[in-house]
Amino acid sequence: MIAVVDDDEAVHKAITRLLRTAGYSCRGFNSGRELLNDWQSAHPDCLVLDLQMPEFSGLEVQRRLKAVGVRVLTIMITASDERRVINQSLAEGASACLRKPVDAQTLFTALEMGGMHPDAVAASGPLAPS
Amino acid sequence: MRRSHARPAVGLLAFAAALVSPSAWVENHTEPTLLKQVVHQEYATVAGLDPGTHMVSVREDGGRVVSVGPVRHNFDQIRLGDRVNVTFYAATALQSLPNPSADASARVQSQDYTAPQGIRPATASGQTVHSPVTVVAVDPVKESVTVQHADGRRQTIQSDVQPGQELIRRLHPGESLELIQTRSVSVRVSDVRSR
Repeated sequence: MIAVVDDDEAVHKAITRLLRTAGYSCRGFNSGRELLNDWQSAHPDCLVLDLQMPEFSGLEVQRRLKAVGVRVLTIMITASDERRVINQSLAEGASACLRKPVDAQTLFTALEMGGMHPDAVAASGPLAPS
Repeated sequence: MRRSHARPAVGLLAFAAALVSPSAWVENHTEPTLLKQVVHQEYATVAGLDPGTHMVSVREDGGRVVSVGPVRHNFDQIRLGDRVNVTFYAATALQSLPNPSADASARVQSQDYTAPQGIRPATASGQTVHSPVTVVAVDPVKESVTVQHADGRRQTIQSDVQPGQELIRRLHPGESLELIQTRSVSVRVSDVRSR
């Protein structure tokens, strides 16, 4: 399951719709706190995380999960030009940082690179060797 | 949803990812193991076109100017002011050194990609550096390895992916390896409606 976390409801709804259309299972969250509170029940395989959010930024969520030993594929999304924060997030383990509005092809590439494949593909059996 | 080991990327980044993929290393009879890979995507505007070299300058929304190319196909379809999608890709891999006593200097491999004619203009260029290194220290808790280059420089790499973490647990100080580091940038025209 992919957790999409963005305080802008329109953004996380758009991204979850895009991912579901592509065959991924996902769930939207309005804040980092909501994700952390629901972590045990949600238990996502991947995070699509807004870098700038009130209370807990994406970087703060990333750090809190890392501090308790959780390692999960993390894709940051941002509308900010603050390169220092972007670089910090990548240095601390995010596998991708994508500019908003999120480009679908780049998001799918980042997911594939992280080993995330749609349910529809998994249901049809293993991928043929490339 | 299926979660598997990291594997080469799809689409425009595929050429760069292929530089650290097993198929690229048949000649050495060993396979590189991916330690980490990172994607950073920005939006930008075409700020300069050089018809002589087919190089394209793009200004990111944050102000930084990046020069990419050459765009071998569809160059004439790119216009100043076009909105483009700029993607940076970096990957680090390790493989066993087939002949540790051989030339200890680093070697550099460059590769370009251009989208075929008839589709939206896109280009990518990448560079891979192969460096012979010696394992200095292994930290299985942090899942990191410290290696020393031939010039004495030390570098610590933490692995974010399962194959790399498994490799690190098997490494020992003094072991000779080849460090493979790939960097690439791709540019794809993202908005043709502004034409």
